[in-house]
Amino acid sequence: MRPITNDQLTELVATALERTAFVLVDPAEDDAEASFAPVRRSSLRLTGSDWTGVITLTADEGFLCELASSLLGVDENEVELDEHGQDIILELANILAGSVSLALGGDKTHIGLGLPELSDLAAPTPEAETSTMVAAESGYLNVQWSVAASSKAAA
Amino acid sequence: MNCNILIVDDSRIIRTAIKKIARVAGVDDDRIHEAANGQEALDILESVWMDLILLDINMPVMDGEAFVVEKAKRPDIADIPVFIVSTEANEERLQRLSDLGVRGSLRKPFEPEDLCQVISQVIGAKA
Repeated sequence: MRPITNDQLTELVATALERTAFVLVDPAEDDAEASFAPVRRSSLRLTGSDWTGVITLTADEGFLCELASSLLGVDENEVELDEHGQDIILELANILAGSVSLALGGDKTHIGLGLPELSDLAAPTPEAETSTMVAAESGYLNVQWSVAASSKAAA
Repeated sequence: MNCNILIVDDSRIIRTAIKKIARVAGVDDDRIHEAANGQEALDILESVWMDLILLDINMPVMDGEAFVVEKAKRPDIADIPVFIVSTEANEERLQRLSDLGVRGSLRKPFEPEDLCQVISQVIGAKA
């Protein structure tokens, strides 16, 4: 498994957002964390031959509305956060997990992808090996990648 | 355009986005059908003939690969062209699907123009 750097993760996130929904993002400023008010979190587990990893996405309302608005072709104020926000952060986890999987193992290595799940914002996230925070026009998205040896390998 | 297409994806927002692309490619709104997993797709295929199926792989209930295997066993629907639209990149798995008759694949994230081209090519050949 190839390691992923923060810069690579940022690029994967930016590419996924641009290609899927024409949403352009930049790395967030250092002080963005202070004003970040997350409303949804999703995660997806990846499984390799001797490791498991989790990709975790955390987004604020502005980011989710911008992304959903762009995908659906509606105004941001027409986006329903309960319905669209949940759906979009799950699908984005799926898309990014696919991109991370390809970056980790190329197209010849089998890496199992789980199904995306919503996570509790209050619950602690696994310690991130790699992370990035990106800024879109209306909000922020934080993406973390953490990896651990599988129990099978540890045994 | 008098062609029916079936979008099979567990994400409603992605189905909506693909539906928009299909409209741009010239498919009439009432001929675009949606299913949230492979089993729902098989149920729809019981009653409606499709000219193209756009299929995700990673889905609950029945995933895309299980759907393709099941579809291949049914002579009445086996010939309907399937195009994979998924995060799947594993060459071996895509080859298995190709061996089962899948026409091609487009990896998410995709450019809307690329999908539009796929739809236009497949349904354009039938029109």
